[in-house]
Amino acid sequence: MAETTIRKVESARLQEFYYDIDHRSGLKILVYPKENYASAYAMFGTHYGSIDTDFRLAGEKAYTSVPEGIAHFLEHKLFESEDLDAFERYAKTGANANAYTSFDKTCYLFSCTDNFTDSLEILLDFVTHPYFTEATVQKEQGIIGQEIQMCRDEAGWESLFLLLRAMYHNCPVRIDIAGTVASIAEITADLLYKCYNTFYNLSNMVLCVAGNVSPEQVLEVADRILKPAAPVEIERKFHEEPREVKTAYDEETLAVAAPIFSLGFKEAVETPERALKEVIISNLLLDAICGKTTSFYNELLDAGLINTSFDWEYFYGYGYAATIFTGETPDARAVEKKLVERIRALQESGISEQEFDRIRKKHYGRTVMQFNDIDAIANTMVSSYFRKESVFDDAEILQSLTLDEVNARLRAAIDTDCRSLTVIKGE
Amino acid sequence: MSAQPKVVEIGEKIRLLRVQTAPTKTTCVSVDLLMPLGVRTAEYTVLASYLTHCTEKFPSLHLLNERLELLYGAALSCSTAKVGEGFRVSFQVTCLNDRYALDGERISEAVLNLLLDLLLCPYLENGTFAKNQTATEIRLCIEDLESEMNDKRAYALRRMIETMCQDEPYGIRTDALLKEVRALTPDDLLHAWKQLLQEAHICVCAAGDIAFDALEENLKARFAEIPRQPISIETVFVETCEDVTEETETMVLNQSKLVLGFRSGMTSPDDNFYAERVMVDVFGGGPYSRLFTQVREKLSLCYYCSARLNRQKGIVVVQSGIESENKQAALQEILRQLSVMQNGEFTDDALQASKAAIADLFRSVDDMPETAVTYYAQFIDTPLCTPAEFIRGIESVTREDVIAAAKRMSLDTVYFLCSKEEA
Repeated sequence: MAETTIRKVESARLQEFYYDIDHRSGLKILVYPKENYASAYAMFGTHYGSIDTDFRLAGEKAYTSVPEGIAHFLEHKLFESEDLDAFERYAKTGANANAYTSFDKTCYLFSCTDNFTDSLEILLDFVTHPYFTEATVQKEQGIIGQEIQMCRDEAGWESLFLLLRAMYHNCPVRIDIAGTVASIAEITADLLYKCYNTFYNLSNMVLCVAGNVSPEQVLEVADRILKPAAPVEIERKFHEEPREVKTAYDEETLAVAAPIFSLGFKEAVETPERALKEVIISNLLLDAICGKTTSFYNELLDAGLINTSFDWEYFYGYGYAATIFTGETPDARAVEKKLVERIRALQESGISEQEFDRIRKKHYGRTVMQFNDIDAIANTMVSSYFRKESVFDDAEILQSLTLDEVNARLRAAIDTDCRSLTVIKGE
Repeated sequence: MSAQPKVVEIGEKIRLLRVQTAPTKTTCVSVDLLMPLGVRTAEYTVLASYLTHCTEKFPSLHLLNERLELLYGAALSCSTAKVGEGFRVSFQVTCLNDRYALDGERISEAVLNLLLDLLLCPYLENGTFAKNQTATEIRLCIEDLESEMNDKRAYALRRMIETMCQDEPYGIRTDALLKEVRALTPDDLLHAWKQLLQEAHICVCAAGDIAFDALEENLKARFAEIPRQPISIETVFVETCEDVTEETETMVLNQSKLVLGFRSGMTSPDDNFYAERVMVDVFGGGPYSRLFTQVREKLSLCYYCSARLNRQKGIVVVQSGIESENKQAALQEILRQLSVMQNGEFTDDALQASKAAIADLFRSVDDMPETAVTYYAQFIDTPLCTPAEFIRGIESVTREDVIAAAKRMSLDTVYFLCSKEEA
């Protein structure tokens, strides 16, 4: 059996550190102690989300295809056991527990100021002990069915998925994280076990803990609860995605006060994953294109084309990347036209040194400020680990960026011809 | 936990809360102003937005945001809220701790001055609020108020409150507010701004690595010129309800919303507060509560079903999202769970779970300047209660207290939002 090894990772710039632990069970554990904090936050995550619909293990010939929404369904069901469910157990420790499923990961978490090791034991125990029966699966279909219905009424959520379905032909990012009422009806206990046994292998997971905690406390529980498992090699099916968008325009009707637009520029992805540097630059670019300090933003605001709901995001994950703008508008076509013109003009002129310095300063400040917040630290550690990076990389990359790199990406990453516009209209 | 914050009276009903936290990455400061609800509420709604978008020195959103970006992305926000029958306007700014500035800038001092400028030195044209900016702010407020219907849960909650409290100031209707907002002029804003500075109860709450003495002197100097006539705020507490009001509305919807409004029996924010707080948590707080374990987990009727106490108004709200056909089943089960509370048929474990969960939330208040400010800024004009004192209050609650609190509850309003076809 392998031994547990511990390495301290430090950032002189941030005056922060954490412990990077390879646990003998095969699990990566990251412990980020914060002096003077009363609370601790723990997150146990698997690199498995809604986009993992087709997969196989090394050695298997055929891909397994599973119903849409199964990762999220599995997250709900894992809280149950033959005996007490996880919430009933947490009720005794006072921890505030929850879980979520995203496109590419599923995370189980709790925060607490007392009884940390008891709560950590519950977390590690219930996530590593699945218990599914046909009866419990059926019961959950009613609850998740209501969650799906609730999301269908959420205009922002609907708008995002309408856009993703417009941009993507095959990439599973186009399917709703919770699936549909019809797709979850196909889920069985056997399928849940199949997914569990593939993706909840400790080699595909990470435990991140931040706050009032020491590595010794975490290891004491991990040593007791976690059983070593042979690592697995998961192969995710890479869905061939045409370069062009599926449809340039689509719309839907919901009870909304004003039309909500979403505009996405689909990026060409030659490799499935984006480097951190590309992500950081894209986020800087968005501020340069339409941040509140741009005259562009203020012109749109003064013209009544946008309001304070106007927002933007660099949206990326395994096999997809896009630059997305969204908000309420009386005239989606006009906003689309303005944004396309703005991006083209900026691609032509480039971003000025002064703007670049100012925006970088903002991003640097926001990056450092984040290290106050143990929830944010634990969440970022999980994402960073799955991307094979450290939480400290952002601040270093930000300081080393050059204006030339930023302007080069502005020209290369956004193709203004490859776009979709969607609108959620009122009744 | 850190030391108890120091309360300094800067002027008449102007309070500074000095919250010393351990060294962290941020500094956080808020300014809260409290006025009676219904007195120029439309004006203050627009004013809050106007004041956070420009100042005399930075007379546009563009210039103000440039300044914030240069201050390492200091995050400025403004919000308004009902606090019982008071209306609170809050400004808050979070910035980088000076020690992380790349060029040794004194970020916190600059940010504090900017925050005070927002409130005290607005951008004016010809001695009044700027015409174009006012028009923009009115539009933004209207769109913001109207877009609340996009969030069906928030919309249904608001409509329930409007129905339940229609004869009380708390039931102020959004459509009435919208009408007033539409009619505002720059001079209305000017008068409201002057009145706000004169009459509001004001609280500045600062947390982090701050030169507090300098801040205190600065505040004293800047507020010294303002003539003060603070106005008192009182909230109507309706103890019980005899008849249940039922209201059903329709919309294009996939999921119906059921919202119940109860009178808690409280006669003031401090009346039996800790018992009420624990009772509502056992009833519908966390995943260990009656509503979660029975209505959601046992009967699979919904994804969410929860109860919340509004201490400042003495009401309890239960919210759930369901299929229309399950309305009666959900309603019956929620009321059955209330009778379980009233009959004391909940377990000691459930009581302990609630007390432990509530205490746990409040023990971490001092971890970050942001959370400390959020907690302490609620004490605008009332005696400070530290998290430790709060937790002691929660822990002192007995099973009998909870039962008695549950027995004081009376159902006032059943509001149902469902899709058009199902009405």
